[in-house]
Amino acid sequence: MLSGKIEEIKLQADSDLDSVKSLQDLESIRIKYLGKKGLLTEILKSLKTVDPSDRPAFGQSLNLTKREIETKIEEKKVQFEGQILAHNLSEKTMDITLPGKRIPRGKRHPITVVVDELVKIFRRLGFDIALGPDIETEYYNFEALNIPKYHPSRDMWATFWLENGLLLRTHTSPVQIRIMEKQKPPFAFVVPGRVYRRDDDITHSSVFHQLEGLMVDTNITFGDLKGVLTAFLHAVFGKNKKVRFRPSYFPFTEPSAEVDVECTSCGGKGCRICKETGWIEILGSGMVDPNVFGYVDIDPEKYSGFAFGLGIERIAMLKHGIDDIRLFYENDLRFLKQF
Amino acid sequence: MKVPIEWLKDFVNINIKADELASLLTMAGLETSVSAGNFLEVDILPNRGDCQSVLGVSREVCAVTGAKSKTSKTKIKEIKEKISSYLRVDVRDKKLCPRYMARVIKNVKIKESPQWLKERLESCGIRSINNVVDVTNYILLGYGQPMHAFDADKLQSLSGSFKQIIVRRASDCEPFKTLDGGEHKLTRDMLVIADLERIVAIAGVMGGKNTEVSDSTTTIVLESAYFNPLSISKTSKETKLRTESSARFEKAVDWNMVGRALDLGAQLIAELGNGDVLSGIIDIAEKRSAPKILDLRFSRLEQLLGIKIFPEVAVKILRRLGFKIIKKDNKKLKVEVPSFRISDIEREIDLIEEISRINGYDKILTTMPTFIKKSLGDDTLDKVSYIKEILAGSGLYEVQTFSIVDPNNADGSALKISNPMTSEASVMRTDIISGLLKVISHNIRHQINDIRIYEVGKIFMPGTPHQEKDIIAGAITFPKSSYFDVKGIVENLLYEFVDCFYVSSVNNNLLHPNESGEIKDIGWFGLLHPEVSKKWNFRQDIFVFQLDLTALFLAKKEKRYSKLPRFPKVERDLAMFVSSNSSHQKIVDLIKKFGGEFLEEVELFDIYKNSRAYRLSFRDKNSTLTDDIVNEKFNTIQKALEEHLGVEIRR
Repeated sequence: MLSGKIEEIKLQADSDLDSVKSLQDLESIRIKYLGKKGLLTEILKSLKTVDPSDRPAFGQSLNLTKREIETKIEEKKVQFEGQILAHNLSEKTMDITLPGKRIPRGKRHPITVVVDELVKIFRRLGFDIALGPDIETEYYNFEALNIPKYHPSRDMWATFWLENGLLLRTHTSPVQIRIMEKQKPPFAFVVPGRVYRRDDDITHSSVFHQLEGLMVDTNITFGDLKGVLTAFLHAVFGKNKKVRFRPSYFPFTEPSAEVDVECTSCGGKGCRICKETGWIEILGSGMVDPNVFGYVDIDPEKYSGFAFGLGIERIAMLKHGIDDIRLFYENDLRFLKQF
Repeated sequence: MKVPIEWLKDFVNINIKADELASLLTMAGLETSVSAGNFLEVDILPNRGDCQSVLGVSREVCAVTGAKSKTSKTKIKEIKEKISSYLRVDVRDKKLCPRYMARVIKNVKIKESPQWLKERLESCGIRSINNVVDVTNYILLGYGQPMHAFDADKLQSLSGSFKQIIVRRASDCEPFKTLDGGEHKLTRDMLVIADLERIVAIAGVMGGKNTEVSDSTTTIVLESAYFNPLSISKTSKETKLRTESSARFEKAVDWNMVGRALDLGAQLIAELGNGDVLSGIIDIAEKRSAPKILDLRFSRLEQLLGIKIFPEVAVKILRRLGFKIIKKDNKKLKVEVPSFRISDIEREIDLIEEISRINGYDKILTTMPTFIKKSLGDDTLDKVSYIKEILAGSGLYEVQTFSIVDPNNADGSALKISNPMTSEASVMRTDIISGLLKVISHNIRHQINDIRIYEVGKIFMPGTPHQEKDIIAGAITFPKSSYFDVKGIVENLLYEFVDCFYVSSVNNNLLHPNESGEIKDIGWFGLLHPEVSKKWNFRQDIFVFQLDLTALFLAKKEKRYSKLPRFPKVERDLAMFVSSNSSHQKIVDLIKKFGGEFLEEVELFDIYKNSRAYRLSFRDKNSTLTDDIVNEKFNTIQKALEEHLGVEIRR
């Protein structure tokens, strides 16, 4: 008789569960059948009235039914929760294109950005950093670099003189001498810094930045100069850019070379930026002149080396397409925010 | 320099296109482009004085193309009359004038030059004047030898017999009027050409009005010389006369061309002006030392270039450039430097350069040095980078301003530039703030009202010796910006370097006396002084700071880990009304003094008028604190504050 009752409860529960509409209703169904005073619980209580020999079979049937109902309730619950979640997700909408709350953050000056980038590349190539003073003596800026007084090549550097007889360095090259005076080869340095030229030309700035480089050891060759500077230019402008070395003249290097890179704007076809040549001059370089080694007491028969220099502003202008050097020193925030 | 290709063909056969030629020259060190189809625009390097002529460029053309140069002999027709009976030259300073040559041409008819000559000069940008002056310019452009033509009748005669030319130094302040009408006061370092009474030319630079060739001229004294390059360079600089002539003399002309050019010029003047060249030539010359002979070791060539260049190749290149091979073995060459290269080829390295540039830099294989470093180098840039990161995080933009500034914005004793471009940029900056204010002013003008900037750079402290100091300076202004904004920026930065610092009042004419502070040895910050603000026409408050970079780096400490606490903290809030003599610093110091070992942190969390609220945190590292212990300390602190600082505790 009781087993018929179980069957009846099961059918009733099935029908209740089939028509349940909400999570709350589901909970009441659970209480109705499985709760402390639920229908199945009540039957369990009456187990003792069952004939002991029938009890195992009866208990088994009861448990089976209980589990079936539990499983169905659980299934329904998952189903309802899924529906509710889907509903909630679709309810909560927002304009995801509204601006974020930004924490104000400043930036480095584009010249610094370029200096840092170049220095990093040279560090990867084995160079250290050295720095030197802006105010220099004539000896370091000219004489020891093989540029004697009244030599016509001095015209290459329009110089600001101080009333105390010193001068504002016209290039970062004096640091070469300062390095070589202090230590013996091998060494490799790059020197970023401010330089000054008394140029009236509006395309020049009387204050600008250079990066100087120097590598000295036994057996450093012109081939090494080419290797290091090509690697550097590829790192800055891309591996596919052509690089060429063109004979030139600097009093402190011999042989000397200008280093050109394929025009960043037209790719070598010729345009306004490269003055129709397809090439852009980036670096001055050369093998350290034996006379310079003479000034710093390094034996030019034993050691050789190369030196180079480049203009930071020029690189920044090429990289970012900036057409007026004065923008760097005007410091308009609308300009600075672009880098 | 502009070189007509037609003219070039006088000296060398050219069988390739102009573009190709330009590219070959460029890759050999003479940066060349083609203009208007038949001109080469050649950029001549400062050491290549020998290329400042059509002939000079033609020699490079020979070297890069392998073409043979065309040589021609000058035949000069002379009349019987001897130059020695007409002109005497007295060179009184052989150091400044190692060689002086002259010829005399009589019965010259001054007229227009023929069309071909005019065209050649004008195509090179030189105005045609007359058949005599034009010839001197033609020789200069064509052969690189400057010449000067004097109207001989205007030279003073020696008691009616001889014309006399004296090559001497000017006396100090001796006046002279040049051809272009300029008046000059000369010095005794300058070489001049004079007659018996007066100067007639600044040697190698420019002739004078007084002996200028005019339409009525009939007799010409034609000068061709070798002047001391350094002396010409100095004179040209000091007189501010940069002429075609000085540009060539100051880089040394070809000793052997002096006479040849003179003959060419005299002959051409005679031809174009129907004149007669007197027989003989004046040539007063220092003895030239023996030809310059240099050694070139093949091993050295390879050592520097990193590639092997075969001796035959080296020989071929040097020959094409005009060098004579004196001796050759398997180790080295002995070569004689041609007269036109004497001033720039002095050492073995110069020969190596010649060979490498004509052989082509592209033939040198690219290699990577095997290099072992011995040092670590300077790490200033890394430290500065770190600071820049912190400041970017505080919302500041980095700027770069000029280190040469207006004296009105610098210390009175600031280092002065003796040749400034403008008076507004004539001294070395003694602070960076004025540069920043200029930037602020620019941005305000462009309607930007939120400005937060800084610069890391050098300032130049006057004195003997002067000192370059690395500093960092900043300036901010934005709506509702305050003292606490600038102080916050400084704190953000400083706490990366030090655990604590003290601010005291500061006396600095850039800063408001009461709304500013100083951190001993490191720097200062605060509201810009109203006087300064007024000078810059600022309507908004500007807050500035300056910190000594070196001091900051020195203050940097290694960070030490302290164990994370395992027991909870106990907090107590302390509200009070403060009196005018109790600063935040004093209150915190006192709380810490009486707070005992368990006081962990004192934080100001509310401030309104003279009311302050602090939150005190207590913690025992080894056990959980009891209320009793905390209360006792808290009471002690409250009492101390009332007693020592006269604050009114709100209970």
